[in-house]
Order: sequence, then C-alpha cells, then structure tokens
Amino acid sequence: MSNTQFWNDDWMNLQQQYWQQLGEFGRKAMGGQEEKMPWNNFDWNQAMSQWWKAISPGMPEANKSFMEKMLEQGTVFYRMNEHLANNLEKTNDWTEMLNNTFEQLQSSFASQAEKATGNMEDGFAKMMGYWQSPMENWRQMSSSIDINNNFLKGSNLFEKILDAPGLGYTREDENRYKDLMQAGLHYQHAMMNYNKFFADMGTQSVSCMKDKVKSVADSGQTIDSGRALYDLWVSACEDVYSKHALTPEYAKVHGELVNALMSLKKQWEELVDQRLGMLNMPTRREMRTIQSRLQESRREVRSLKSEISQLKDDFEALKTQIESSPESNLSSTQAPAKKAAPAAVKKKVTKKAVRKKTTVKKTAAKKTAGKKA
Amino acid sequence: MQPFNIRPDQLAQEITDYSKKLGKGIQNLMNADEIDSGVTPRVEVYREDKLVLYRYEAPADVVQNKTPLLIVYALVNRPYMADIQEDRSTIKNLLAQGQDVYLIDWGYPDESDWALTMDDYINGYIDRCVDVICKRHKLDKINLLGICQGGSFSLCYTSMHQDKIQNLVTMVTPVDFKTPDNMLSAWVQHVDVDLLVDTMGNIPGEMLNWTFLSLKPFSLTGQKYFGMVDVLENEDRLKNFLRMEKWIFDSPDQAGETFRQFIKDFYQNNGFIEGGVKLGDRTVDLKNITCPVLNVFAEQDHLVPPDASRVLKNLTSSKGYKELSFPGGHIGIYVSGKAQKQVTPAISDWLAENS
Repeated sequence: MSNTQFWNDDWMNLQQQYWQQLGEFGRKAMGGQEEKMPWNNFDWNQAMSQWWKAISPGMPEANKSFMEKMLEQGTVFYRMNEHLANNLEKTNDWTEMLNNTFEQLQSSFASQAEKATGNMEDGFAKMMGYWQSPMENWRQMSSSIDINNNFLKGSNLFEKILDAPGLGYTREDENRYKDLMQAGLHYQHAMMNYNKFFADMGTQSVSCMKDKVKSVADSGQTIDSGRALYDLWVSACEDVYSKHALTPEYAKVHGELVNALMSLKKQWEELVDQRLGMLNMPTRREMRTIQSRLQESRREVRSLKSEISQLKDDFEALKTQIESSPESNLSSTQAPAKKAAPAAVKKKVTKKAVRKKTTVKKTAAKKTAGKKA
Repeated sequence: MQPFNIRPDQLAQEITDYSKKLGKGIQNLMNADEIDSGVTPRVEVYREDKLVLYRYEAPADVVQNKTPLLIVYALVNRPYMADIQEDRSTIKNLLAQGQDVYLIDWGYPDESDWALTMDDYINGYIDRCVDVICKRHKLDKINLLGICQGGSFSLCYTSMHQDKIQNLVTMVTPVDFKTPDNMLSAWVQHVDVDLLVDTMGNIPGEMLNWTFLSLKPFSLTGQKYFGMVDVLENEDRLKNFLRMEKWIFDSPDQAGETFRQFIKDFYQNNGFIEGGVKLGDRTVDLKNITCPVLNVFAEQDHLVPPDASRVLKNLTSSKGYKELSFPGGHIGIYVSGKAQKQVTPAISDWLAENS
C-alpha cells in the first residue's frame, strides 16, 4: 500500500507546495517582480483522478459516490480559481476578467468532456461546460433503468432500412424490429432537443453572473474569496435554469424525452416478451395480467371478510336481543337462565339490530307493494 | 467600484486549505460506520403485506393525549425522516409533548405490488390501520397527521371517513397542484403517464430521485458536495450529513397503478380543486372534512410551494382551520433545530386545544 500512502500524504504535500509556490508568485507579482505563471505545469484533473484511484479501493462502498461528487466539485473549484487567479493578473477590468475566466472554464470542461467521451465532434460539450450537470443526471437515471443512451449511433443506416416494407412470413417480426429502430431514432431526436434547450443556458448563465457581480459592486460590497465567487456562480446557474425550466417549452421537451425513452423501452420489452413466449417462458405481459387479477381477488376477499365480520356482529346482536326480549324471558322460566349481555354491548348492538330490522321490513314492504301492483 | 477583492496568493491559500481539509477528511469518510436511522424505540402493532404499523414508546413521565396520533408518510422516500437522529426528531418531540404516536411504514413495494391502487392504499391500508388503532384504544376517532404526499392521502381519507378522524394535521402537503411556481407540476404535464406506467410497471426510485435533483441541479448535485469539505473533519457532522444523504437516495419504487392515478388525478387534473377524484366507489370531496385542520407548510419549500398548501383554507368545511407557516424548506421543517422548537410544540399545543 506504499502507493496509496504516496497519493494520500505525498500528493497532498505536493499540492500544498504547488499552491504555496503559486501564492509566492502572486505576492511577487503584486510587488512588480516578473515571474512566469506555473498554472500550466500541472494537470489537476489527472492528479486528482490518480489520487482517487489510489485511495478509493479502501473507501466504504456507500461513501464512494459521495466522495466522487465532492472531487468533481473540487475540480470545478480548482479550475475556476486557476483561471480567476490568472486573469486577475492580466487585467483590472472586472467584466473582461469575468468573461475570460468563464470562457476558459467552459472550454476546459468541454475539453475534459471530449476526452472522457472520446467524441471530438460533440459540439454540445463545448457549449455546455458546467451545464452538463442536469444532462449527467438524466444519463445516470436512464442507464439505471437499462437503456443504453448510445443505442443507434449510426442512425442514418437505420432510417433507410426503416423505409423498406416488411415482406413474407417474417413480416411481423421485421415490423417489431422496425418499431424498435423508430423508437430509438425518436429517442435520439428527443435527446437532441433536450440538449439544445440547455445549450444556450450556459451562455445566459455567464451573463446572469455578470449581473450578479455588478449588483455586488453596486451595493458597495466585494467578493472576497474563490468560494464566494463559486457560490455566486452556482446561484447564477440555478437562476437561469429555474427560469427556463418553468417555461412551457421546457415542459414539452422534458415530456417528449421521458415519453421517447419509455416508447423505446416498451419496444424492447415487447421484443423480449415475444422471444420469451416462443420459448414457452412466462412473459411480462402475462405477469401483469396475473398481478392485476390477483389484486382484484385480494380486494374481493377483503371485502367478503369484512362483510362476514359485519354479519357475525349483526347476528350476535340479534341473538342477544332475542335472548333478552320479554318473550324469551317467558320461555326462560322453563329453560335454564342464560347470561345476559353486558350493558355496553346491548347498547351498541341495539342500534345496528334495529337498523337491520328496519331495512328488512322496508325490503319486505317493497316486495309486497310490488306484488300488489 | 471593483467588485473583486481577491489576490492570487489568497486564492492559492484558499485552495491549499481546501486540499488539506479534503485530505484529512477522507480518513473520516473511510472510517465512517454504517449509518443508523430512526432513533426512537417503537413496537410493531400491525402488519399487512409490506406495510408495518408502529407505535412509538413514550417517555414514562409524560402524560399522553388520550387520542392517539397516526402519522401517514409519503410513498416517496422513507418515513425515518421524521425520526432521523436523536436531536432532530419530530416523532421524539411529539412524544415528549404528550402525543401517543403511531406511524405507517409503507415498506419497499416490488413488482408484485404493481397493481396496488390509491383506493387500496387509502380505503384499504390506511383505513385498516385507523381501525386497528381505534380498537386498541377503544375509541371511535383518532388524530391524523399526513406528510407531503401522505398529507394528500390523509385529506382524501378524512374526506371519505370523517367519522373516524378527530383532528387532521397536514404538513407540506400539496393541495393545489398547479400553482405557477410548481416545477414538478409543469414538467409532468406533457408526460404520457399511461405509457410510463405501462412500460415501467412500478416507477423506480432512481427516476424520482432524478426528478427531485433536477429541481435544483447545481445546488443539489454540485454545491452541496463542495460545501461538505467543511464538515469532513467533524465526525458527528459528517455522520449527520451521510445520514441525510442516505435518506435522500433511499427511494422506494412507486406502485405503478397508484403512481398513475396520483399523477393524472392530482398533478395533471388538479383533483382537489377541480374534483373528479374517485377511489373505488367513493368520491373525494374536501367539503366533507368538518374536523379541525392544522395546515403546516414551509415558506422556502421547492417541492411543495407554500401556495400549493395555503389553498386548503377555503376548500374544507372545517370550522377550526388553522395555518402554521414555517420559515424553512421541505426537509428543514422536520430536521432543522428551528423546527424542533417551533413546529412540533405548535402541533402538540393545537392537538391539546382540540382534544
């Protein structure tokens, strides 16, 4: 575990030295001495990811994702501060400094995303930057329900195939596959629309950030730390997001995305069901039917149980009433005395019994009236 | 005026401090024990399918309200939120203030529960739990406290079984599902719920988590973890954070048929306002509610905006309607220190006044 030790302690020391060196540089620069910025000599993202790889095997499983999220945000913070420190040296114009910082921040995230996905042609990554967060949530969720988002990468080929009609003995099977492909394409389009919606929010969030910084300046306050700047940036992103996320346009792209994913998954399920049926295996559709019928039966059983219980109570009430009636008392002179029901039970019972009696009488009266008519 | 008062060396120091905290804190994270949740002793009094009805043990020296209080939690997430830790427990505080507390734990529905409907939950499970409690205490009526979706269920229940409810407390309960600031409602309008349920069967907890995190993606999936570095060094605070984290992601799947009806009748058709909600052969009409109602909501609630709850005021026939507005959020109303001092005592006092 010496390697782990290195990344746990030595890397931290190395980091500390780096930032101290940077601090020293800052002080010298403030004093007018020329120094070369050390920013580009160290790949923070790589170093952090190496560090994490080394220590994560010893981390309890439940805490891993939590730590990963913290490191992700640490990376955002490091990068923001790197660019900010760099730009603080270059200009006194805060709007220019802010523009440059966020432009650099966006492009560094874009390049990181491109490296991660290996997709250099992914134009969205460039636009998105930090705004990949909501999309990342979607990717994680949809993969958790077994849909591969990269399904149908070469969609042009499928579009051509889909235009051809199904023929002959296998036509129904072909159609099922075609439906699946169409659902796949539809999902890709919905995903594109969803991404597009977010695309210009990244730009708007920088503009919102400028407004926020300006209002800080106008109120005579200052931003005193990297952390305060980071918090302001998050707040700007949230403001822009919530404004757009409440619009009917967003509700539409969001709904279409969910619906398209479900259509795709449904087509998959139907194919799987069909194959299972061919193998004489139980299908999902059959299971659903059984579950529905079972639940219906359970409801009926409960309802019948409840009715039986009510009838039992009524029966007991009537029995008690009959036993305690004067006629019954008369006959009881010849028969052994029976234990009288407690007063509380009598009281409770009588109402129900009377209600029941009345109902019976009314029904009988109706029947008689019907016969008379 | 120049808004930035940051020097590069200050920034460097700030990052050094951050890295130090990260390095030190990771040891605590690696050594963190299993997270416990639900702190107050309780006994199981009734079980049906996956549902368990618990009764919490009251302190021996407290005089209890003769009318027990049944807490109906949402189907979303787990009810231990109301009893999350020793010094942040709504249930513990209610007990300390003399309430005899019962709680329905819905469990984790699986595929075999897919066909459970809202009628099964409300006129079935809840009603049988109420009956069990009434029988145990030889009472005709009990007090009911509904939380979030559990509050909506409690409103439905009371409107159909008013004879069994003495007092109704609703906490952060959506009533008007179409207020302009309700993001969840806006999003769900174009979702084909039938397709969703027919495809998925039960709705996975991950899907609900995604929806809730999407309400504030930058704060909830980013900033929160960044800020965590500050508590990594403190074992207790770290444990509290991890406990909350566990609760957030401990999301049971939703029984498909219930989800279908809840979204369609309430989020899409705003059933409490517009009417038309039928459970089995009964119709939900809030005007049937005549008992005293205490409506508690949170002013900074991003899941159930305050206006979504406030509207209840004019929808029931209750002569004893009261509101309690809490200056906090949807979760803070249970777990914040302020809530322990303000919310639970107010609920208990109100129940005492109306007992």
